[in-house]
Amino acid sequence: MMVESDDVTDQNAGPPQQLMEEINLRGFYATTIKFNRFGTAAAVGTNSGNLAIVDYTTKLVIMEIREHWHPINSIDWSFNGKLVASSADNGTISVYHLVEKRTLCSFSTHTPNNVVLFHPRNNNVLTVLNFSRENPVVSARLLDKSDSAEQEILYGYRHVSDISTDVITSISYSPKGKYLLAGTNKSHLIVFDSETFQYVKHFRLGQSHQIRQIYVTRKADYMVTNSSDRVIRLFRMRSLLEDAKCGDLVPHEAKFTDAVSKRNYLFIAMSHDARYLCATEANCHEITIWDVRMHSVVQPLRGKVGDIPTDLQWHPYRSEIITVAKGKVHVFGRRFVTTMTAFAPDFKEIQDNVYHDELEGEFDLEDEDADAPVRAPVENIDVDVVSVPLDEMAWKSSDEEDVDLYEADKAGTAPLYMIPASFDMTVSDSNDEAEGIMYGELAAAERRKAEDDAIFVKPELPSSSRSARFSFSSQEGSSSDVMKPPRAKRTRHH
Amino acid sequence: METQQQQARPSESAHPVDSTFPPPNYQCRLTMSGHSKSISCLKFSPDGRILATGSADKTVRLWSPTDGKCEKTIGGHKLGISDLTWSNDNQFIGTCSDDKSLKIFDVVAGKCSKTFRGHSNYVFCCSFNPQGSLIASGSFDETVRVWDVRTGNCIKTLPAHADPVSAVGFNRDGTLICSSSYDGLVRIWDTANGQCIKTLVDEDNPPVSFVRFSPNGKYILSATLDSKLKLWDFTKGKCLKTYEGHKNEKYCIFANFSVTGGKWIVSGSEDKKIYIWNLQTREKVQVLEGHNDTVIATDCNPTQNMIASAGLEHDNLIKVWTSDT
Repeated sequence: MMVESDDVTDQNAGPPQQLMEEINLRGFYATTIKFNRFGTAAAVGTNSGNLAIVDYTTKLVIMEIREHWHPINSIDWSFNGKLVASSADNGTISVYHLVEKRTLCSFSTHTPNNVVLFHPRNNNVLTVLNFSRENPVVSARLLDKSDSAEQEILYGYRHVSDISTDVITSISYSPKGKYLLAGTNKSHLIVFDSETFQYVKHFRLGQSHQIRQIYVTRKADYMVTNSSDRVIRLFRMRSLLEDAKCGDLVPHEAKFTDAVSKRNYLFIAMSHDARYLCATEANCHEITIWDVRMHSVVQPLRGKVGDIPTDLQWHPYRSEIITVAKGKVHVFGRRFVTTMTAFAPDFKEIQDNVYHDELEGEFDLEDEDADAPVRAPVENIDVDVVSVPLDEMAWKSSDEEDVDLYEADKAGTAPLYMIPASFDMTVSDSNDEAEGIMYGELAAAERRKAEDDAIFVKPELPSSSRSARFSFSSQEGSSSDVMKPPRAKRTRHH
Repeated sequence: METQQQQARPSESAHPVDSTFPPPNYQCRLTMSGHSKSISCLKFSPDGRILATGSADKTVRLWSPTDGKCEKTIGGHKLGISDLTWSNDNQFIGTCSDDKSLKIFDVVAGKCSKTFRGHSNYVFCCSFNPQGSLIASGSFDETVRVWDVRTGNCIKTLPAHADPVSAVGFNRDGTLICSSSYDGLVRIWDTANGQCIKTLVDEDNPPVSFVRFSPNGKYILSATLDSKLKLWDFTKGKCLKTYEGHKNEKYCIFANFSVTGGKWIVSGSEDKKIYIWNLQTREKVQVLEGHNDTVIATDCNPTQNMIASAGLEHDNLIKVWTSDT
């Protein structure tokens, strides 16, 4: 337990510093992972096709969803946190409803390597990318009345001469879902309007490199791209969408690259305050972190040697990064520093030795010279113990209505930020034979286990501590191993 | 007839708090009995349809609060039960007992599903987290243990206090655990990493017999053995309100927030009565009589204006009270 002084920096300020733990997936081999937007749960896709939902507060698996029979390669959560879309290696895509615990819809694209994305605000629109097809980007509207293959909406862009031969290699929605951004293999960025599904404009981001991943931040309006020329570029969304003219080469605001060893970065992510950028490597389990504002490199994170990360996520509001490597999920975070003031509020830590001037009556048992203690009367302010305004949640999105979550929970309209655990508990312990017996037969079971119960036979113990009189000055006659003698403290007033 | 005048004072919440709610008029509708030894705890299920009571006679009984029938009796512990807690899906009850173990009972099947062993002394209090994946328990061995419900393993042991732990509770989203103890401290712990975040101490530190979070997780209600109930803003570490008038010097009596109608604080007392205070003005709005011994446990129905109460040995009755406000 590292103890530091009171003015230690805020827990969430700064990037993660070290490997904290591995999440126990109960035997699953993880391939991919995605946080929900509240940061309270992570969906883990596995090799066997199971989808495991991990509650992030407790780091325990709370739900297992059996949707696919092939390894899962892409997952996304809906805006309200109730739906999870996943795509498997054999081309099937399915959407699961977490509260109703059923598959909402499931269809197959018959081609592997899909990327699924939910529209950031519309829970009904699902977009699928598969670059090996004629029309790589396809959107589907869920909950359609026609229950056959969902209405597939194609995004046409081949009519534009500049990009007619491009292959779209990555997609992302803009922060509020107004546009769908698509990166191509010729370093073009195509912008589609997400409501009309029409092409809007396109830009050039560089000199003919494949855009592998587009990452969009919620704050500070950045768009970061990771490309095959081993350069990570940072752009301002506003300059892209509003200022630049169609077909232009858009200059990047910043670029990050490893000039020395030309590292090949596989996955990128940014922190929630858009201050730090992290990237995983192709060769080792090392995460490089840059400070975007200072354009400097921060201490890298190192995981176990030999693993190569297959996925990377930065927590929506905490300073924690998770990676998936060799089937295990690793959590990197900041070192927790315990301050002694957490244990004793009037404890003050000092940096240097201080000469203490003793006051006149400081160590007197009864200070005759001191004035009577003046206690300021406590103001009677009204206290609200019930409402939970959405405003105060760390994951609040800027265009979310000001809602009271307590009322919304009762009405059922709240987003699913806390997922109830569900597991089969009907298997009882095999150790205790008395477990499965109803109350009437308890006496027979007790006779059988008489020798085990001998340790419980004690003289004069109260049958239940709560209903017995537990006086603070405990009985002397009881066995000493049960109750420790009370410390000499102030006596209870009678 | 007391009228509560509210001055134009800036309220802490965004919504104007109405402190001119008419006082409650709880009346006893049902009286139930059945336990052979004294009752120690009593809790409504989250959907408000079942009332569960735990007793020193080692059993848990499930009652219907509408007609007062005892629906089930579940046994399994070897010594008396001190506390019980419901999971949010209304399917499981966690109990803790003097036999140093905790058990989870399946309500529908009426059988024990899991047993948690590890404490070295009486387990005094327990609480499910809102997700239903963890149970926190406090014991006379001065530690708070956090158990994984699915596997039965103890995932954390918090060196919480220097005296028996009298109560544990989770906040609304399960990220914090509060614990109180006879050493006079209330401590708040982070569930994810088990670190102590805050300690609440008042000037003199009488033993704290009960603690719980408010429904929105921002305030803490603590009961101390000098007959006081205090409402704390735990981020600032300040006591905001004090409720007095009852008698609580020996037993760990449960205290509740009643939020279904008017906002009240409800607590039993050692003078055989149940006290109800107005949460904002701290005045006693009603005192319920009818028990013949200390009222050790009270609980408020989450869905309607209903209070259930249970008395100790000489009384051993469970009473259900309803009100219009």
